[in-house]
Amino acid sequence: MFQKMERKMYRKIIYPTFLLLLALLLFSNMNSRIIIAGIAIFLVGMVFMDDGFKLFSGGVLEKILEKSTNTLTKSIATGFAVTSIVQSSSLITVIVISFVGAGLMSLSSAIGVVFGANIGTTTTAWIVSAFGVKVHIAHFAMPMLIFGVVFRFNANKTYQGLGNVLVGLGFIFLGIDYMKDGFDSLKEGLDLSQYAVHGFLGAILFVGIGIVATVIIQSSSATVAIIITALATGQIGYLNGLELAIGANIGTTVTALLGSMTSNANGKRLAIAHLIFNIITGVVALVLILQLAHVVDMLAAKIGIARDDYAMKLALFHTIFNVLGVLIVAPFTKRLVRYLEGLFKEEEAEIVRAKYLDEIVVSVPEAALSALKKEVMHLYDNSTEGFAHALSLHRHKFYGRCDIPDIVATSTQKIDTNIDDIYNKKIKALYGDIIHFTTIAQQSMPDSESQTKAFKLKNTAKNIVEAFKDVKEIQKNIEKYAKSKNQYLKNEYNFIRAEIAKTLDTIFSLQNNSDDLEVVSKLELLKEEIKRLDIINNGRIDNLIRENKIDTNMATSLINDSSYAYDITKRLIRVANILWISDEMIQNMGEIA
Amino acid sequence: MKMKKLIKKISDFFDTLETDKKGEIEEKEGALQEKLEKKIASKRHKLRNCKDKYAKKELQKEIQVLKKLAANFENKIAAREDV
Repeated sequence: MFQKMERKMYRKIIYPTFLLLLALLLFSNMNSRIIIAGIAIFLVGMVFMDDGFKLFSGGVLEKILEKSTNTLTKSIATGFAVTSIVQSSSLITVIVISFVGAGLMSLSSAIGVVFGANIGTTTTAWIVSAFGVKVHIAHFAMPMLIFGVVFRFNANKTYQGLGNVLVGLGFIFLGIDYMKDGFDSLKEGLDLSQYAVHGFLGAILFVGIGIVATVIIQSSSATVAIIITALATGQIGYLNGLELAIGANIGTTVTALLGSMTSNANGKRLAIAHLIFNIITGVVALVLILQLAHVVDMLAAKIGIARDDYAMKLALFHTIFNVLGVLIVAPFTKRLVRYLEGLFKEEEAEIVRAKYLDEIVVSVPEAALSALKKEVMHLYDNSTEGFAHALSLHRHKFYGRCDIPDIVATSTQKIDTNIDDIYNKKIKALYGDIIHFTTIAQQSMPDSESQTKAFKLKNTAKNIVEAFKDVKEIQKNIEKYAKSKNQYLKNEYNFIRAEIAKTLDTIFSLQNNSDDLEVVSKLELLKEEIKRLDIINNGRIDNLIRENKIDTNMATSLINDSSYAYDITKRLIRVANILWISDEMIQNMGEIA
Repeated sequence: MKMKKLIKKISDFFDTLETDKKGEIEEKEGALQEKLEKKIASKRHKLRNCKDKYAKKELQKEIQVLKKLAANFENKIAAREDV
């Protein structure tokens, strides 16, 4: 309700006001127009870089993040390294949130990556200060844009990704150049540095401006680039620049916070961890700003940064205070995880919904596929209770047993379960979530290979649901004929129950088997076994009718129900083939695939 | 001239990536065939040492299935190579 009101207010008041102010600013001053155009071009560059890395890495980025984050130190180092390369802590944070949501990464590892990403993102400041404001950077932008566009037209996805990265870098460089030109010209008419505010009030004011600017621009890298260009052209004072950078660091958490609103508990936990880290870091940096500035002066002199090169000094300050933040907060990661786990608890709903799918996971193909697979497994797990109870069986009685036909023969008591209720509470909404998620996820999947995988998983979910509906159809007759006085009919229905139970049992036994060949061969054997349910083709029904063992009514019921059972078991084998065989080549080996 | 060479180098680099991918699939197929053979051999070994009648029957069935899978796989590869 509150979120709805906020959204309405944003749409009706804040956004139009922002547009109006922006238009006024653009038309009132030529220089501000150039600066704002520079920011816009810079942001377009960031978007292209993001898209490019998603295409270009082909899942490499995700694999690195998944494999090299098993300890906190490794997580921090990995977060730092990948963010330095990709130049976008937001992209890394989104991937990490999706990984935690998909269960591919622990919360403490994810927090480590976010810490590292905060240090990694300071490399933007180094690039802008060491390179962007010192040379005519637009010269480099042009060839990048040209080659980038040429590559973008290539059919190959890798070329397209590289093209996007080049176009992105080109726009970033061009944006910086525009900002620099804008601030240079602005200085001739208006000197912003005369508005410098010193002391505590100045600190609060400039930190606030840094926060607001970053919230509006939605990129701390862009804010830092503006600060550095303004600093390099002498438009703002050094200390005020440092305060703005602190503000930008806090402001950047708003992007993650907004993104996490629709996320699951893990997404929210990570966004709050990000906020806590950046606020602590910001407060420490603000309190120790003079001491840190002194440390920066000392270090700058040692590494050869000129006394008056404030742009590079700001980059150094940016790195130092983020490293300091990691050193202060990292030792408390475990405590932070415990606190966050207590703060956001997974809700136990009466109607089961998706556990692993959310709006953040959907944007990262690798994580989306993994989350989807887990969710379909979740759907299968939810359905097994219904399958067993519809057969008047309890899973714990026949799982892992080799005498399933005997167990079936002795279990004739009807189980008081409403299969429709199970369907409505545990299957229907969850299946709906899977379909919705897959449809959206497929749009952001760069290659047909990922799209096919997503399609197969969607189809697997459909097979589970269809099988469940089929079991509902045979439940009534099973209950009726399992107690029939006609021994032949009773045996046939017990045979149907046993075959479905054997299928469920075999799948259960294969769920933790990592030997794909073993799994596929067991499923192929099962496939041979269930052919016995095809009573028309194997002639069993003819014998029963011919020898007057069952009447015609019984025969039609038996034919229908055997056919349902055959379909159920075939569908379940297909489900197991996709869910519990990870090697695609092996998946496609069997005839059932 | 230098630019032409650079473009060619980049193009060659991506071509190598594509060729590598093809080779990678062939390598994977080879490894899988080998794995299948090993699996069949290990099942046969188990069968020789097996005394239980029921388990023996199951192992025989499994060997048959694995043989069928291996043959199917070989046919699939051959069919693709023909294309």
